[in-house]
Amino acid sequence: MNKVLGNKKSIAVFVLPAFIIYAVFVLIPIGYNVLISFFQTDLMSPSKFVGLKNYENLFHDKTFIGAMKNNILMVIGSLIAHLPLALLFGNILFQKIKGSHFFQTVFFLPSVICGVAVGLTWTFVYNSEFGLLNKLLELIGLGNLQQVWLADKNLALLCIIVVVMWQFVGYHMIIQLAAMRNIPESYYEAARIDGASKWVQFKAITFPLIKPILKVDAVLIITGSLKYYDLVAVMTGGGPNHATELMSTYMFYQGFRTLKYGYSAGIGVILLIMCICSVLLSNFIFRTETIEY
Amino acid sequence: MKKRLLATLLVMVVTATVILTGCGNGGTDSSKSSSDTLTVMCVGTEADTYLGSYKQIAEEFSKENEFGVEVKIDFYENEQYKTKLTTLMASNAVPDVFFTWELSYLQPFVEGGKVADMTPYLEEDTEWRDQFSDGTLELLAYDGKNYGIPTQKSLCVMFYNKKIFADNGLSVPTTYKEFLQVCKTLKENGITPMTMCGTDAWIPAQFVQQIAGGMAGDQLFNDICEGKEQWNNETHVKAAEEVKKMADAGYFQDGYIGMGPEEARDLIMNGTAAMYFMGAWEADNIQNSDLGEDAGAFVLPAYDEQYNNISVGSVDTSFCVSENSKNKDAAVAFIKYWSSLEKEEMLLYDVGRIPADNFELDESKLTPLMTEILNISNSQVGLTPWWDRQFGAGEGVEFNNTCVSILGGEDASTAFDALQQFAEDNANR
Repeated sequence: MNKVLGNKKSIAVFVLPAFIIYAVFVLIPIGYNVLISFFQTDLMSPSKFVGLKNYENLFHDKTFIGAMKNNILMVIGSLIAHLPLALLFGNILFQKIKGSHFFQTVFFLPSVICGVAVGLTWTFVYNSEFGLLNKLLELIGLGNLQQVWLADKNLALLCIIVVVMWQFVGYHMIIQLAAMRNIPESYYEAARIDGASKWVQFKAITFPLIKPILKVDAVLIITGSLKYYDLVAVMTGGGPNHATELMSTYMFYQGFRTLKYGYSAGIGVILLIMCICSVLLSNFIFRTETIEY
Repeated sequence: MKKRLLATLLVMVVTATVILTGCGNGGTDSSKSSSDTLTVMCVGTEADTYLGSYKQIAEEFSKENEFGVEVKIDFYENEQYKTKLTTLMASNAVPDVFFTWELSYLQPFVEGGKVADMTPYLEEDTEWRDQFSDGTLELLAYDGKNYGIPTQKSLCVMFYNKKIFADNGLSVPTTYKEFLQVCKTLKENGITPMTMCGTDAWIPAQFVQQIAGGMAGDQLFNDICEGKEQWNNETHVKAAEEVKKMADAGYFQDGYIGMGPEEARDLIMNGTAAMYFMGAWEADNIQNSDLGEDAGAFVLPAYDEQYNNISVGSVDTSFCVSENSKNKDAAVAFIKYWSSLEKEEMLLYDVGRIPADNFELDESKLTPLMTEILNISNSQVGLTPWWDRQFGAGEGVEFNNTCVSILGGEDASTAFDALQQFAEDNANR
């Protein structure tokens, strides 16, 4: 078998099917998307070449700028919940406390539920008339804090970000916990003999050793929240008056509702560039050599 | 070595054949059936009372038609339908007959050459052409050619609860002042005057549009369409402020801004709210609810009396034939069948859908609510189509969003200035 795999041609044969599928469904569409972003087109009537005009218009489009800001808020919110907070939870469960496996499952549970179901559930929680949140506020005597959560343009996005934080904190916790469990126990034993406190153990052993995983995780978090779509589409549909619009929902709106596919492709290209830049940035921040135990 | 390579290749070929033939079977099946199946795509959900009647029309046509085609009708929820149709349009896979909205919604598809020209069929059968009310076919005509056939008409009316009105000693208002007085009295008596949905932007927007129509008539509408008037004209600002004033006075239910359309509708149906401003298509749902015989309808009196009886309304449930259809004759016959007197009467008497035709109707078969609505419909001197049908997803939807953001607390003139700016920017996107 080694002989077969040593031959470059046979490697190509094995890789080819996957590559063809990848090319047909990912590479070619990306190329086509970049191409039509230079046109004014509804994909039916003849297209008109407009050069970079779509991009120029995008940066004068208040809704698009708003959507971009919302995306950045989403990235910040997710980073807060999914790095420090997940790390904290992960580290607590790592201490082999009683029932840690139970809590691990509980924290992970929301991320296996599909986004649409999560969105609908939380829409009910936030409902202004019979929602859980408003009823709870009333019960504890904070009735004056009741809000029409998802219909208030200043609050709606925050409400959604909270749900995103809640939904994925367990997922990232599991990734980080798995990395922690990979660290040989002997390191901690040695540290304990030397009298290192829990904090010092975390700072000097756990954190540096899981840094490569944190890098991967950060990339997942950032790209995930840049191209986020489902919760917003289900909970507010980008409303009220585009207040919760993200780049991906705005792209859908411009493409499938107003039939400005060229303009919408332009949004896609900017999203792609932002994703690539953020990956490069997080690679730079978390740069580290590979670790072998 | 070479043998092994050969073996792997062989495995791959076998796998590929299995997969590809799997796809192939599906392909031949659909192409075989497409010759004697007429595919129809329509908007509707199981919650709509008219769905059964629509299916019945399709079934009966399948049995009776001379083309030997069987109708396969699919229903989709409104937003899903829009996404599905645009996708199918771009990939040339539109069904033979499809539901459409009028005006700007259909226009790009017509310009893209995806919709069959219906003019020859209408000219061939002038009796069919002449049955439609004045101006209804024009809403689906582009460059003087007809591309769609309207089967229904719809307009916005104010539904009201007769029992609540009687209990509070109120009568149907005939002037705008009286209308505000009715709201005030109801509010003082602890009853929610109107129910409103704030999450679907077109619902508050049609109310603003109705009031604006009552302030400046349909001239305003026509001027905006022709580009003679701007979106941030003072009538729009004034009308939106008027609705905002009603909201601030508590004439809508508490928390309306976060309420969905079904929740809002429930409030009129269960007798909590006294009035509900909505398209006449809700008539059947309302008369089948707990409200029953207590349901009534009136036209909102105009702010300026000289513009009374100008309402938001248009044609409804229009159908087009796809340019790619192999069964164009059968497709046209199906639409003709749907818009025949017999079927239109069935839709009107059973599920309260107003025909787009000038048929002589048997009023004794109408429910009291439908009689009132038909009277309103007949007494209108002008109908202005919903902005989001006239201008589609661009300015139309932004008009709706603007109205919601004003109700959410934004200053009306700032919001309409932003809409005007959007309209100018949107022109060259």
